[in-house]
Amino acid sequence: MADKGVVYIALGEAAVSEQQASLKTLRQYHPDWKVYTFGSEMRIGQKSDFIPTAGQKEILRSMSRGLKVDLYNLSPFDETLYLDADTRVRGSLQCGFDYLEAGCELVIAPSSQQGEDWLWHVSEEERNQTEAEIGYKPLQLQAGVMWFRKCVSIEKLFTAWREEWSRYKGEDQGALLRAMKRAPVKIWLLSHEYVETIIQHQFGACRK
Amino acid sequence: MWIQLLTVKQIEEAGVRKTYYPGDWVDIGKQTARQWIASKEARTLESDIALAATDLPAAVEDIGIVVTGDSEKSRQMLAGVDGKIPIQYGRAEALYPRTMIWDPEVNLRAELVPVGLQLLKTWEIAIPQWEYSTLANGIGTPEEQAATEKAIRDLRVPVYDTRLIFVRQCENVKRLLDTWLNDKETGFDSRLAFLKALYQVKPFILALPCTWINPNYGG
Repeated sequence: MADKGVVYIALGEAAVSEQQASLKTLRQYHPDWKVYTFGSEMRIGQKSDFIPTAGQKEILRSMSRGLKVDLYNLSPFDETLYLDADTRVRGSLQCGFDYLEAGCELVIAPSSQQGEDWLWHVSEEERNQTEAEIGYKPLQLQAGVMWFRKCVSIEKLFTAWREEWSRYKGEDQGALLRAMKRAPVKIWLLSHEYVETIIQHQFGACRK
Repeated sequence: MWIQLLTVKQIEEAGVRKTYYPGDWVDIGKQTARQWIASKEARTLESDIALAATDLPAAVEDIGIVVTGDSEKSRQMLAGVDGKIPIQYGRAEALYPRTMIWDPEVNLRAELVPVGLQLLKTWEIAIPQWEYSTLANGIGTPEEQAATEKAIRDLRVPVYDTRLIFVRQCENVKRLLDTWLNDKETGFDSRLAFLKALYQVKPFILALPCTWINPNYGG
């Protein structure tokens, strides 16, 4: 049986606080699952005497995204559920692992941000370049919650994701779409609506 | 002559004015069609699919179109392409190394045809999603839903629009199409049958936005 577990990335006091809140909700449904958190040991100062500047927060956020696109190498598990630190678990997350065990390589849901909201959170330059390179506006995916298993295809996808992310740094979703133009994987799509019922996302909480 | 509108047009049909929107295909007189094409208010399918040939000079011979359904409309729309790009009418099959399978029941966004064919260099299948608000638990009969849930575990998943499929000629695609059609041809809901086949075969599939079928769908 594959070794499976949950991976978080939490850089900075706000993210660590969010991850701990997320973990608490995860434990309500999966008390025995293995969990690995990257960055929790990298606290900058103490909450009481250190207030990061906006610039420092941005650096932490960028570092966090940089770790995310390296998850393939960082995760100690054969099958990984990645959760953004600002998520709250509201139901069983076993379904994703079931799909992996059935032969899927990546289980993920489309983002609610499509159409006019497509990649609204990345720079205009990256957004335009992404569309130009791909040839259309691809389906935006919600990479804050995803299950993946270690295999050749996924390794290639993460390698491409890291390379694409390195072009602009910052957010990771545009880079994922560009990476998928180069590296196909066996995807099972969950619906955005379903994922929202099992995971609540506190978007922006880690930036406080 | 069939043309695809690029702007909103009001067209009189049997004495009644009807509004058509960008993306709609209309059958109008040749003179008007030529005027609208010249003023970039409309286009023909021929010019856009020809782009595929232009973009892929070394591999033109490896692409083709399979039209499921044999409507007069599709024959007219594809008249200019016939002879330049192979076209077959009939059952959904990957007849060419890179095949577009198209049911003329849906409008074709011709500008995306070359893009879809290009995607097959990376993916085995590229297919648009049905409208995002529709999930597998909202379509089909109770019996079809039960059979699908048994096959794919959970019906809270997006569904695909099986009326436009880009496929690469390979073993996974053959198995997927055979499995899907065997189910569909018994009268099973096409979209649910496709999900069942997808789960069974697990090809490299790329979900395209539902706007590939209708640019006016909400995002």
